[in-house]
Amino acid sequence: MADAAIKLNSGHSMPVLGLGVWRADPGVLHNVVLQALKLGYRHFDCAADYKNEKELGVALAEGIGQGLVKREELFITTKLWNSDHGHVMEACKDSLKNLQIDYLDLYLIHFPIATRHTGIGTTESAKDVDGVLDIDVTISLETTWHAMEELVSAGLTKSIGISNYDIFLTRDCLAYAKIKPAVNQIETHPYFQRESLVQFCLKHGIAVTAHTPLGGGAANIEWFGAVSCLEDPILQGIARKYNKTPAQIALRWGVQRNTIVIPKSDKLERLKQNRDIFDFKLDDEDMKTIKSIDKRLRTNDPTRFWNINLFA
Amino acid sequence: MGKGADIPRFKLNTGQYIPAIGLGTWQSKPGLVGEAVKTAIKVGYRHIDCAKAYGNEKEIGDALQDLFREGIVTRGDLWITSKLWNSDQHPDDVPKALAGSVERLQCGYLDLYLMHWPVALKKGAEGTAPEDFAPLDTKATWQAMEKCVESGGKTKAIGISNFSVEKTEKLLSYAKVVPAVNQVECHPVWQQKKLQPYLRSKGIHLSAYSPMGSGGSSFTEHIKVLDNPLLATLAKKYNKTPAEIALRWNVQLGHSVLPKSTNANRLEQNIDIFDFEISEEDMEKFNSIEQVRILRGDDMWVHDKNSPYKTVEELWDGDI
Ligand SMILES: NC(=O)c1ccc[n+]([C@@H]2O[C@H](COP(=O)([O-])OP(=O)(O)OC[C@H]3O[C@@H](n4cnc5c(N)ncnc54)[C@H](OP(=O)(O)O)[C@@H]3O)[C@@H](O)[C@H]2O)c1
Ligand SMILES: NC(=O)c1ccc[n+]([C@@H]2O[C@H](COP(=O)([O-])OP(=O)(O)OC[C@H]3O[C@@H](n4cnc5c(N)ncnc54)[C@H](OP(=O)(O)O)[C@@H]3O)[C@@H](O)[C@H]2O)c1
Repeated sequence: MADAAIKLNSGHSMPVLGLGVWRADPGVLHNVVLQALKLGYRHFDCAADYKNEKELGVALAEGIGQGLVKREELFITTKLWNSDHGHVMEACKDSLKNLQIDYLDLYLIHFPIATRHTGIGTTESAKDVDGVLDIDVTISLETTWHAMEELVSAGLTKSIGISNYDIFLTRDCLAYAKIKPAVNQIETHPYFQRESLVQFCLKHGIAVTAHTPLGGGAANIEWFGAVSCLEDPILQGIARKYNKTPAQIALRWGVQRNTIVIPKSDKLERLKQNRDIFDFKLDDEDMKTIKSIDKRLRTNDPTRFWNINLFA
Repeated sequence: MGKGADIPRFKLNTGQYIPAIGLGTWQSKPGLVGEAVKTAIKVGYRHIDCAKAYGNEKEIGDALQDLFREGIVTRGDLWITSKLWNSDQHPDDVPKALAGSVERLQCGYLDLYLMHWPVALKKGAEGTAPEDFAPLDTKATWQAMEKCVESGGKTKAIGISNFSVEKTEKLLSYAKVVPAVNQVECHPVWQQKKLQPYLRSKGIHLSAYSPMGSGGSSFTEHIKVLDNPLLATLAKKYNKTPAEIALRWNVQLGHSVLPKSTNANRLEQNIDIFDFEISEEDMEKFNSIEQVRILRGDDMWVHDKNSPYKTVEELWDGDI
């Protein structure tokens, strides 16, 4: 049975559950993807910056070769890196080559910022002499967006979208877009609910993909010193009530508020668990309770790597 | 209970969790070790203790590949440890040796890489003959180990093995990365009474090797840990085997245990230790067991001229 899907404003449909592949260990992702395909995962969320498009591409090609899945059943997302805003077409083609496919299902502008170009697909975050991210102030997001639109007419991607855009930037994009963004991919989870942004996007026909839907789990504790919603006592209590895990509650909550969730795991047990969220429904009371645990806590803040707080 | 994802884990000073039981693979015979790994993982083991010196990493890697292909587990479900052999201690050789283990084990990365012994052998030395010794420079070796956990390194944590209190203390005096683990002999007949509290105070996890006293190995013919009368008494009381009592004793002290077996029944038996608890009163009784270090290392690492250790006392800093 195909996964639950939603219809994008581009007319294409997108499975509401996908596998995120950021920080998957090189050499290990390959098998994770094959096992995920066997479990029924059809939607994969990648990015040039994750530096594993090739490994994902090899695994998907193998899955298709083994008859596990057909290309047209897959939904493949990748993202334009900040250093390639002035080279959208070449960057997209480079990603397609790495992924061994001839079209993407969704291509996103990874961040609403352009940085010094370092060569197609190198995805560097080059620093200026002051040690701070070398931000390019000559390319507007509007210019980048129009280049994204050309990819659709060229048949390189079915849908285009944005990522990490706030309400201000999303509104602006709606104003200049000839093709409306199909998706805004943003960090959101029970500790960072961003209800206004989510509702604004949905109201204007932009689907919301929740990146970091588990709050980044152990990885963001380690990387960013975050607090994990998976350890929240209220979420744990709800998990016990439904005989599910806190991760399953967080994902189910995400789906029930009409977002698309893309949890990452490299563990077979969790890959299974994270899909097993369609046989129950959180009642209104519990949805409300989860609303009350919001901490407005961004767990993933690249300031550490860029020496500048872009969310300031 | 106590299978796969449910295996209890201990938190390391790196923030990672090591499964409380791991499969030992020393002296696991070629042709048997691969099957042992497959059986172990199917009955719930998630941690495998390997070493280049055991000469069987390739076969273990092949078994892992089969398990990954069959979709029994993914790499991420597992904890894989290997060890830097003494002849690879030169700083230039450390990352190469690590890469070699990863390649043979075909597992992408290690969860833990240990310095196998505080002993250095010449590069390429096959044996442990007097002429094989090389000057020991643990500091340089450890600094090379530290580079292996930096980003892009092929192991997630590093540690030591067979280090006494004194040798650990010395290492800590210059270490930038505190070892996550010291893997040492530990069982009811050699309880590491001196090392245990020391490691605890430093936040270094003790992983217990030869947790059943190394059974039939040639070094230990005369001492049979599992024949200890206290183990027999408690086995009867808790309706468990002496091996299970010995393993459970270690786990209750917060030590991960690394029982080796290539026998399917014993593999299942050894992991069946998470459904009972030895009472505090019975734990106390282990204090009265006479203590003997079994893997003394004197036949290998002690030499009056070439080794830094002229006597077995020096190897263990008197803790024997
Ligand atoms: N657009 C953007 O800027 C952006 C930014 C961040 C992320 N993303 C996308 O979103 C995806 C997901 O985000 P993320 O990987 O940062 O965080 P996440 O999916 O919220 O959390 C992943 C963490 O949770 C653990 N985990 C997974 N399943 C679990 C379960 N059932 N129970 C307990 N822990 C579990 C994972 O560990 P194990 O792997 O060990 O299971 C990992 O540590 C990324 O892979 C990427 O595709 C996009
Ligand atoms: N870091 C180091 O220097 C170092 C040194 C020694 C060991 N180690 C590690 O620790 C692991 C375990 O140590 P070890 O192999 O020396 O000894 P061990 O695990 O204490 O004992 C293994 C012996 O006990 C037998 N056995 C297994 N389960 C049994 C049971 N339930 N009842 C009775 N006998 C049983 C095994 O035979 P069968 O196989 O026939 O079951 C084998 O002969 C090693 O494999 C290695 O991974 C590390």
